[in-house]
Amino acid sequence: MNRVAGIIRTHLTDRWSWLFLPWIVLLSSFVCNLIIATAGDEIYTGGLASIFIYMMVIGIVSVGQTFPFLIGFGARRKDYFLGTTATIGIIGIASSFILLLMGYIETRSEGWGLKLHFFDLPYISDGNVLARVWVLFNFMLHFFFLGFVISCIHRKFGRNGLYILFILSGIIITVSLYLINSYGSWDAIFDWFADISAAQLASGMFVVTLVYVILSYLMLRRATV
Amino acid sequence: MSLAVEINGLSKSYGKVKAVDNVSFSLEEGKIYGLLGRNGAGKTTVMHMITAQLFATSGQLKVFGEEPYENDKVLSQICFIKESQKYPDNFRVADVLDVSRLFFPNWDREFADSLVQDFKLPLKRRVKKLSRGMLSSVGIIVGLASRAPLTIFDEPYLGLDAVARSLFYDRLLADYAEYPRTIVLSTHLIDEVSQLLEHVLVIDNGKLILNEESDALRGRACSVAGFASQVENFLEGKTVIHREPFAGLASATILGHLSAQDRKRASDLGLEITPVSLQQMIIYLTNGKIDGEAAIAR
Amino acid sequence: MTISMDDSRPIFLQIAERIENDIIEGRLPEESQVPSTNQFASFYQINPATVMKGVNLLVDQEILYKKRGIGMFVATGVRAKIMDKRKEQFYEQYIVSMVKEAEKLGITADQLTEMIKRGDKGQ
Repeated sequence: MNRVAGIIRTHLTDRWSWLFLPWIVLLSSFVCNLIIATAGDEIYTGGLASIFIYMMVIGIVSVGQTFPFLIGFGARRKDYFLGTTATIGIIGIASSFILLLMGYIETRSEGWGLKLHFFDLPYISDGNVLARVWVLFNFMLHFFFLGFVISCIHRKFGRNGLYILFILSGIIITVSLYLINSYGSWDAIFDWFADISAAQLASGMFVVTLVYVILSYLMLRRATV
Repeated sequence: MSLAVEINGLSKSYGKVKAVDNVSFSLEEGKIYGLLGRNGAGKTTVMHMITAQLFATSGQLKVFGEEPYENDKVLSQICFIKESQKYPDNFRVADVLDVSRLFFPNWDREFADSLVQDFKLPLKRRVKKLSRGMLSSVGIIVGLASRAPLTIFDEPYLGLDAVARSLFYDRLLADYAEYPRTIVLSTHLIDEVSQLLEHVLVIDNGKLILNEESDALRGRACSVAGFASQVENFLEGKTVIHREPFAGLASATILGHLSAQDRKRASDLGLEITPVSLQQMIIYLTNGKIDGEAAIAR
Repeated sequence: MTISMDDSRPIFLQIAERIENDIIEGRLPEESQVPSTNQFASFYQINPATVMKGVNLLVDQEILYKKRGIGMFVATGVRAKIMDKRKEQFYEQYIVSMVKEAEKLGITADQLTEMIKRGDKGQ
């Protein structure tokens, strides 16, 4: 357990990557939107996505940098994995609460006085406090582990592994789009999304995240430095 | 005496290439070992396998009596400082030392601080921005201050000048005397470290070709020089590791002790016998390519 | 490296020889304490186990002796003993080969003696 704590502390030693940069990224997006909002109209923006995209980036970068470093310092792969998961868990929960709080402020201040909807968005913000935190937390977690699993594929199978992954995903997406189009199923899909709540969607995402987690662990178990 | 490392028939292949080929040896606790050989001979691969960073294709490997893979009890007793050690981009020197404390149970903070002074390392500077020599110093400091029961240095002094290298040897010996532990120095700069080593392992082309106490090796080889025909005559039945013809003359290096009878015969044949240094002997054993590389590395 | 060792001969023998030299030349008087293994090791930058082997060689020859808990000391009367040993070595190492070389060059015993006297004055 000691070692896992050591891994968490090592990650958090890099305060820029974990604590400052995500909020700088998000805040710059927020400020841009604020400026646009001064123009007058009510705005719904997807700027919140910037922090989730950032999570994916750090998921990709952190394996490349901390895995060789920590394995070189005698950490077990299992401890590295548990420590890294715990780190994103802690960061994810803390960030979700901050985002939630910002959402409340946004509602109270009627969109920062400018009718800007940045943190408090329809659909995503439906439901009670727990549901909202669950949604935000799962977005953070999902994007982080998406980056993480991509990086693990790179670590285990090299560049060619990534090429194959991207080509395969490209083919799968193209074929699905083609099938959906040719069967005219778009309406059914939109209906399905409309029927489930954001929290339910988040739970679905959680299952996908778990798949990433298991895959990354299996790859890191045999990854070399 | 208990063993720090026990390796039996260890091999590592990449496709058809055998990077490490059926290597067996053991390291006793509390000794300083030299793992010597040319670049690319397989030294680093062996060390990566000892520290469970790389997986063997076949063979057995025990560190402190147990398998090292995912074994916290074993891994926490090892400190492996490799030439290619990676550090996170945002880490400053101070961060690396802080983190080291978390992973090496015997970490000595004061010792680390005094080494930082000795090597004049800028604590606030990012590791990424350090010169090659300074980066090597970081590794040396972590390796020494970890006081790990098995400390492995792989080419630890790239980019360091003679003064800093001498400082390293000095601190290493002084701290080793106070806190004996198993130390492995892997290098191709044999001449500088040979005096520090109690035992020498030489790897060439993935095979272990020498495994001996270093003092027993000194004086083990000698050169004979004289007229080519006489030299050839003398060499019969002896292990020759190097030959150098020159006009009608020849010089050859022989492995093994010469008896008084041999010496008398050499003298009668008009041959001159000169001792060969440990370094020279290893160079001959590993095809004489070390010298050039060592010169470039400086 | 402070004073380098000859890498073509066992270092423990060289350590033993250096201690003997120090005794002969009076730097280590009889009954004085010999530097510790670690002092030797750090001074010459050599492995402590190698130093120990050299020191033990002299202990076996009763040139040094161990005082429990204090360290190694030079035994009484060993200076003369080492001198005798060295004189014998000197004869074998230098005189025998010198005489052989002199024979080759046709130098007579008298001429050789004369040369030695000249060499002595030259110093």
